[in-house]
Amino acid sequence: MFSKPIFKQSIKTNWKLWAIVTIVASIILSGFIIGYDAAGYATIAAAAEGTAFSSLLSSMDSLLGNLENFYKLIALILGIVYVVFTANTLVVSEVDSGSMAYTLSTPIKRSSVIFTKSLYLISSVILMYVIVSLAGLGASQLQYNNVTGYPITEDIEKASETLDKSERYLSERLYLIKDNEQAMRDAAAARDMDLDAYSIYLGEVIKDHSYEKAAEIITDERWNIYEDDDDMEDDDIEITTEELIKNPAMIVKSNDALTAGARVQGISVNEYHQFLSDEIAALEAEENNEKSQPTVTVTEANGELLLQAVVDSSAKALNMDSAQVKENLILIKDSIALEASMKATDLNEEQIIAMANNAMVSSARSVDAALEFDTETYFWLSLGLLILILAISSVSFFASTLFNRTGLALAIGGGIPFAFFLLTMVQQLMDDTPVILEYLTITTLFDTDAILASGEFGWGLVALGTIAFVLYTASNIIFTKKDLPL
Amino acid sequence: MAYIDIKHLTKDYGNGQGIFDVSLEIEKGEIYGFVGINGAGKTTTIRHMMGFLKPDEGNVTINGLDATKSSAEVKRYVSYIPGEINFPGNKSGEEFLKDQIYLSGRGSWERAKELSNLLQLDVTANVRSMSKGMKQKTAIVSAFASDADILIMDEPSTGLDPLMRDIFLDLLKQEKKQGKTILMSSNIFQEVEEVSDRVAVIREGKIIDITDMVDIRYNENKSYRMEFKSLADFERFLSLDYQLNKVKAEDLQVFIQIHDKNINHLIQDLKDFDLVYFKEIKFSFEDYITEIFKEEV
Repeated sequence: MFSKPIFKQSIKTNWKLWAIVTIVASIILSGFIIGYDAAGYATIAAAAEGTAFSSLLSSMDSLLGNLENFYKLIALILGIVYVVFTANTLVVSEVDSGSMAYTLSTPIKRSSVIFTKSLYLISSVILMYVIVSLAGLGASQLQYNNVTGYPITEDIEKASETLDKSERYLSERLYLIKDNEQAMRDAAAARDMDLDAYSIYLGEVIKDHSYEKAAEIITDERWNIYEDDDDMEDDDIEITTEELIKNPAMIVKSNDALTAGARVQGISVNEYHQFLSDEIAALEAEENNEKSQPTVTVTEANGELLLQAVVDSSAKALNMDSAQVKENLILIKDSIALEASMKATDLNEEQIIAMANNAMVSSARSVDAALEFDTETYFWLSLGLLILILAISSVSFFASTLFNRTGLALAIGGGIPFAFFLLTMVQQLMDDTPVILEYLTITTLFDTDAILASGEFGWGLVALGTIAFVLYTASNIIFTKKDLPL
Repeated sequence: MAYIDIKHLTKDYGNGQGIFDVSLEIEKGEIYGFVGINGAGKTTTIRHMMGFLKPDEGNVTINGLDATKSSAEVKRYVSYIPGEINFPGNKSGEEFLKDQIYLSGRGSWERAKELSNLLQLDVTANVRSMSKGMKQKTAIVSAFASDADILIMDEPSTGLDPLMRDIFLDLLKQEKKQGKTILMSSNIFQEVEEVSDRVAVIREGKIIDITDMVDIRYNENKSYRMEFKSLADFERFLSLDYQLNKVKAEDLQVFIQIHDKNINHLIQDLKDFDLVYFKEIKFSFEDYITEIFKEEV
């Protein structure tokens, strides 16, 4: 079935376009990743809220979400360019020019010729997108160290200079920053926080990292215990960081987890044990938290409104714009601003400072979260894109085998994919598009939103795979049976 | 069964286009000419032999193998020059020739080099930038270098200058000596006449004549044309018992046909006549074809 000489010839004729598209796509993806400005997008997205522009920005609040436009538009059109022209060169242009006569006047079966050519197109597309995905992975790792380790944020960069340690080394030992006053000051400034807020922030990050390590170890231990237990689903065995945050008591039960967690914190196991006990106590206290309260209580429900009120009154007191204060929340702690805010909201000083700290910490942590690289999501985005391009390549290849004239084959085999692209572009860039458009393009089956939101996307990919399989099979049958004008 | 056996081959494209009930039997070792005007169905017939087209009815067998169903196996014996020549890929003539030798599993590069020299072909040129004549030469080199038992050629001499055409016809004769079977379509009757053993004539998709070239080349019935000086002589000659093809009384001219064995008799008779001239009218295959077409119309 497979003919090596035909495969070699296909490579020789088509490698240039392949190389160009692969390089361009890799560079653009890397550019998207390296140029991602987590803090910047958060500000723009907040400013654009409610405008038509917001649909474009809504997904940009994370590094991978920011890639949606790459996957849905740029990678798509580059893929279309490659598959349309290559499918055309592989079959119909050889039939139309008559050069196929030479291939078919040798003892190679028509079925092997077309099988080998379909295999070339499929494998070249796969290789292309594997390379592009790896390039993106590499770019992200080089820029943020977030594929195999913790993201390198600005504070770590600054502190690594102060402490004269490598960024990566420091990102795994954040307690070193905590232990050095100068490093703390520099790092806090790098993140636009005062020392107070930054030390809360750093404490939380270190705690999360220690829980994360502990969660890994507990999950491993549970795997060993429950591996053969049919009653336990994989999800039940796995202990996530979130579960530990809610219930740190689980760590205490495992010596290995305790050791690992303590190492991340840079403290002894005993100290860590004590730390966890405090945490557990604090959580319990929070549950039956009915302390004597000042006039107004800050709750989740009114938190945002109160913060806005504080920001507004601070801005007024400081003679500034609300947006300026929002960007630099330290200003709230200014004594003039504090007084104004206390008057405006009936909150006491302690509460307002706590609120400012909270706001700063949570905004810093959301930037951190945006820089996190979810390998699983990235894998599905890459695989989905690959399957989508394979499905589109099957449309072009089918047209290329069905018709004997280059013009007609290009019109159909290039026109349909290009129409898909245009429809996708309209959907991506316009706010309220008619739902019917979704049914007119197969790109809808590659649901990036669902992948990013960990929703249901599997069936779409299965459908795309089926389209590719059916059309490639049909192409093979048609070409083997049809009349050739050679 | 003939080496190449075409039986009742029919491919109807509608509007009278296509080929209808074409049957040809080509024996091993012969050069078979296939002539007809453009659009008569030569290429369609040849494409069926190569297995590129599927017949509506009838079939082609080559060396006992069905040309449609066993198309790939048939190519072990067959080499082909297409009517419209374009080469696959983006490579030099040399690379193309080597690839083709490799793919077909026959022939040798030595032979290809020899043939290229003979045809004055520059094999270093890229196949995409070749002129029509160069492409034709490359195709010829490829076909002859492949050492196939059967050569199927669709108008192989188009684009060649007269000198190259002679070299090509010599090559054909050499191949025949080595026992190759050759089918060659053409619309140039002289070249077909020169090399073919048999010629099939196709017109509007139907075979209208199959001629053994021996009958034409060694035709013992010859035609002569003569003009007499006087009306008396002219009339006296008419009274003799000769087979008259045509008589032009106003010019005192007579066209006769006579078998070689009676030629002496004619010359004896003519001694008594006062002639302006006497000459043989050469009969060519072209005249023959023209005659057939006239009859058909």
